[in-house]
Amino acid sequence: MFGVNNELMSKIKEMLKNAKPVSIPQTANGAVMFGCGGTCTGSCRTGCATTCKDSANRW
Amino acid sequence: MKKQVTLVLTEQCNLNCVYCYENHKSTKAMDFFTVKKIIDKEFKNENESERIYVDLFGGEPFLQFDLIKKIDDYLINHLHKTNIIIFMTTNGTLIHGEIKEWLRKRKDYVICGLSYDGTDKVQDMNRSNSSNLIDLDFFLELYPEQDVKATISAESLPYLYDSMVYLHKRGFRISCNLAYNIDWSNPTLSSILERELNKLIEYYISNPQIEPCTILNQEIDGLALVDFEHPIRKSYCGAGINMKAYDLNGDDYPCQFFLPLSIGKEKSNASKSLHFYHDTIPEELIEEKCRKCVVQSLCPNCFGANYAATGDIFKHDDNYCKLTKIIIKARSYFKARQWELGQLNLSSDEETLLLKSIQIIQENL
Repeated sequence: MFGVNNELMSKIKEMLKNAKPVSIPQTANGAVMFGCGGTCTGSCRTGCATTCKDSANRW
Repeated sequence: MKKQVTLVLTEQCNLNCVYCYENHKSTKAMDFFTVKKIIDKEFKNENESERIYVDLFGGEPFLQFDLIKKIDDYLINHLHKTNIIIFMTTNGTLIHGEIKEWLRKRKDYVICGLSYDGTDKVQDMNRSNSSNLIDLDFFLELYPEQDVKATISAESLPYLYDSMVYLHKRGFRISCNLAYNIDWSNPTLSSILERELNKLIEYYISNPQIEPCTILNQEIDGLALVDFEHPIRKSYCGAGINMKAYDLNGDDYPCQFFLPLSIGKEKSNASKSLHFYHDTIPEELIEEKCRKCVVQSLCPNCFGANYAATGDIFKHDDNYCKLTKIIIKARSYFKARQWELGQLNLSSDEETLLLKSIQIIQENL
């Protein structure tokens, strides 16, 4: 389930073929970020906010 | 760096939720002397320009309302802290009368995060028949920017769609996730999860003005930045680094998951020798199946939940893995549909990263 149909996938690939190179933030380059994965327990909404994009903008 | 300190005010809770990870509750509470000692140690000399976050936790923290009032008084009137947020994770059942008024007067710096799981039926099933004890409108009125925290249990999974739609109709933004450390091994749960996510996707596609719940809306575009040949693994969790959770005795732990209240004294004591990596995590600490997994950067990796389940902060509960992959694939499908319909407002770079990530997920899961 949740396979994107061929027509849409072709559109996505076509778009990527013509896309300009992305300016990658240095800190994110190549990194696999380990942490809660966004499934924080509630209080971590404050705790992880130093680096967690999901919670950083809440307040 | 921002500092956040969690104080467990009580090990008692007036509910008994089916998925609660605090398996060692008691009727004990923290005393003010201990609170004061912790606050003095952590915050007395903090730079005033840094915002400080005090997280009052439980059990149910409002069972200790008198202590909460004393903490507020000490921080505001004795230490004269102005750049402060006091956050409380609550089940909401005690927020009535005097407590409501107290919160209203402090709504600029005292924030409550409400745990509420969905329809009344689901709330009652997961959270001790508590639906009629909670004034949802109060939370909406006072904290309109704060997500309601909805946890999905195996029992409530068949009602995921109904629950999310109900909470949206009540006006909430929703942060939701599968419960940690419960039995997800029943094979029928995968197809139920797919069914419910599919209904939710159609709902959000038809109602693009509604901010989707986090299970479908978390970002996937970071995947496009991963160097799969030579991945660097970094930690973004504050546990053991800029977070501390204090138990009733004033002993500190990396986060609330590591407390004796959650995992018992023995395992909790053993956690004292754990090493948390501030930056890069050595590859050899990651399980081989995760090292090879293409979506490892999108996978929930709560160190505390991992430790509680497996005794290793980097090792997952396997039951979670299959369901997580379904969720990530559903997210990629949802984002692709939204993109096709022009429902996303993206810069050129964001669009490229998203589409690349969708392609990686679709070709590998």
